[in-house]
Amino acid sequence: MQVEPVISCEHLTHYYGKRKIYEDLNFTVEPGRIVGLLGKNGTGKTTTINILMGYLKPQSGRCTLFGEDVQHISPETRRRIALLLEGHVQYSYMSIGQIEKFYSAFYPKWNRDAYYGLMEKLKVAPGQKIARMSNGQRSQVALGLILAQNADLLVLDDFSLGLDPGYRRLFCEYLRDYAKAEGKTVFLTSHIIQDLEKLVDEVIVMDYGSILVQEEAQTLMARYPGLTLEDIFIELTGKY
Amino acid sequence: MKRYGQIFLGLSLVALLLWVLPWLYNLITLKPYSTPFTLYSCTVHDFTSLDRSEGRGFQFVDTKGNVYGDEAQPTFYASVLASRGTLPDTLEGRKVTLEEIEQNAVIASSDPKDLNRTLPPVYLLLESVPERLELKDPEDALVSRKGSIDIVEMASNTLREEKTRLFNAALQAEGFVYPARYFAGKPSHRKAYDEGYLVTDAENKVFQVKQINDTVHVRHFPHADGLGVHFMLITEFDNHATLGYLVSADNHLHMLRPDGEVVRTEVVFDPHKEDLLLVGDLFYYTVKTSTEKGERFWALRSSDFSLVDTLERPYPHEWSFPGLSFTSSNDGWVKPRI
Amino acid sequence: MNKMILYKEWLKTRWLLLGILLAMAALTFYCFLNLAKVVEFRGAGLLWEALVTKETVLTEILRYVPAIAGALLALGQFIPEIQQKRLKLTLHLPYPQGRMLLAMALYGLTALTLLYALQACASAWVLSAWVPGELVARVLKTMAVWYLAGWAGYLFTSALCLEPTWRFRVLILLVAAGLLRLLYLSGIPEAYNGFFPWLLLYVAASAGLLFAGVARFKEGLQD
Repeated sequence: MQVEPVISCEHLTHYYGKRKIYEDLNFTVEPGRIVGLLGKNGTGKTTTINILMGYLKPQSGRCTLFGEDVQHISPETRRRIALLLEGHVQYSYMSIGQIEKFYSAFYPKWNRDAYYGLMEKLKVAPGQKIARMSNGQRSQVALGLILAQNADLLVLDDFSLGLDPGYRRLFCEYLRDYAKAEGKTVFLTSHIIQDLEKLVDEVIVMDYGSILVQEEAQTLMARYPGLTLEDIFIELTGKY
Repeated sequence: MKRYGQIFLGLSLVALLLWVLPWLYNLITLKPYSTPFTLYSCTVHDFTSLDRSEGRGFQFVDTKGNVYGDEAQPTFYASVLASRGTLPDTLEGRKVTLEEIEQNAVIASSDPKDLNRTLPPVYLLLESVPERLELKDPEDALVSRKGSIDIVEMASNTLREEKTRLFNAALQAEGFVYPARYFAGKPSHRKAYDEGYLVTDAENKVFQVKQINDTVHVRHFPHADGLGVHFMLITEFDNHATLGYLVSADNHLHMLRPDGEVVRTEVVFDPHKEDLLLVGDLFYYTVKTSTEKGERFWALRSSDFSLVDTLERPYPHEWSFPGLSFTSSNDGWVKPRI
Repeated sequence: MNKMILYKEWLKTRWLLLGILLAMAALTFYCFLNLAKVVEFRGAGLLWEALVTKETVLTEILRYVPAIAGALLALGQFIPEIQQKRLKLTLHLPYPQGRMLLAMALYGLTALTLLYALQACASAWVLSAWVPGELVARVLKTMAVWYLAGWAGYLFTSALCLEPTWRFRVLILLVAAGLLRLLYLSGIPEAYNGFFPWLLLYVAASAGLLFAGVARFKEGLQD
């Protein structure tokens, strides 16, 4: 039985003014996969996330999430999607407790333990506003909220932005363990490619205007023995 | 919703432009003009206008173009002429004195803007016969309500129950029908004497209410019944020649004498649309009404208010950019008008 | 979920609302303290005379307060939403987006209405000790336009915040300036009595600008 892809984009074309971002882009993400979207700055990674989340209308083409057109995602479907914005943007005027209280009301499958399990690791006062936390602490709050939502699809835009290696590692380990244990689908971007090596099942490498390669990460790395994923990326896209 | 926002903003901007651009254009291009001060002369027996053109000095010009000095208006400039010793001792075939001239000088005006606005139904009540002759600040006020006119003591904001009961009983005895429609009065102690208020009831009958020794007296003017009076001015002039001016449903100006007689004049005046200026002396009243289009003058004999002469003076036509405006010099409301 | 939407707005604005409440209370108190002094030294008749013969409602010091309060509340509610494009989080919540925005706007409008109602009631209560109901009503009807300016200030400031493009922000600003100019055009008491219902309708209709701005945001339109 053919399973419907969680994410599907067909003939996606977008320009910013006269600048072409991509033309006739096509890709899918199957259920249970962790897929990393790689590309240099300006190749359209965040543009793709914005299109998928309904924050940008493409010039032409169509994307679906769980079979629904991304321009009109229903609240029920949004409940199945956990979103992490670039920079771990949160309601930073809330505290850990307040933000948990807020989000839990929207997600019937909310897993409080998953959230507070991570929060115990943070050395912050219970009432401390998220705005007063470090980048790393904020990323943990964001990760906790993502995990607690118990969503079927996790979309993370440049999850490693502003994090030091310790937090990045924690994030990747947690995310992979959780995704694999729960059979979640993950679609993410990151500008630190070495983080993705141990995290993703599949990579989509974008260049200016198109997809260079969409392949199993292990298969891709096997084709370039001795090279890290980062080296392969530079090889594929050119040094600069 | 995008389309809704665009339409909303679009229509709003169009309205804004229709409001601002004509206003700006008219501000820059329209020139203000003034019209000469005009009175009917008891010596020239014509309307004379003050000519302020250069090199002319202080001169009056009649409707035929004849030029005069201030002898054309001896009553208006009586004190100036008297100081020079040139005030005539005979005018209109009778002996006159400065005192008599000054005592019979009257001036009254009305502006549509004072009428065309929402006014509170509250009227300050002076004591018309004060203890020490000089009028004092009022202590009570009339509050016109649906089924009564209450008298409230202002200092305590409490109803003067007995006084109100007696007052309303007096109103009803005179045939007053509630609610009151219009009050005319001057609630200021900066005048020689006080005649209270002229009031119209629901049937446009005219009454006078006046406080004498802490009791509010009522007087009905049956000669004004049936006129459909919709506007009044209380006069309170030194000469007591009139009690007030009334405007009937057909917009004729009527003079209400102290004895209750109502004299209809030929002056046609819509107080809701026209300014009124009445300047009167011992012999003649000059009544001027004006709109944005021009002025009309009537000369009436002071003794019986009969018509002597008329004059019309249209203003020079100046094209103004049509547009949307929200205020008017003729009323106190904010509302859209083209 | 509805409660949590209001909870979020409350967290953003509670201290600001307290500040606005205190400022309004202080100014209102100051206004009526001045009048009380006049009454004490010169008698309440002076207030009657001013209200009846002059173009005043005695509370002119409070004229711009509702508009400033409305604009401040809008900034307090919506600047946190547009900073770092946090609006994306709000729009991603599993809740109908239109209803979400409506709930946020209604929160602000309701909070303002409560503040205005408090001020109006306090004013009426104090004034009714000195002047009759007819004059109190005159004051309140005149102040109603200032409250309308408050709602307009709130809605247009919100629309400005949520609008992602500079072109439309300029247009919204122009229209807002025109509307506020219109609402403060005349200081004559009860000058707006007849026009008020239409102005109220127009201000209510301007709420659509918030939704239009969000619609443009969702299309990715920006500068």
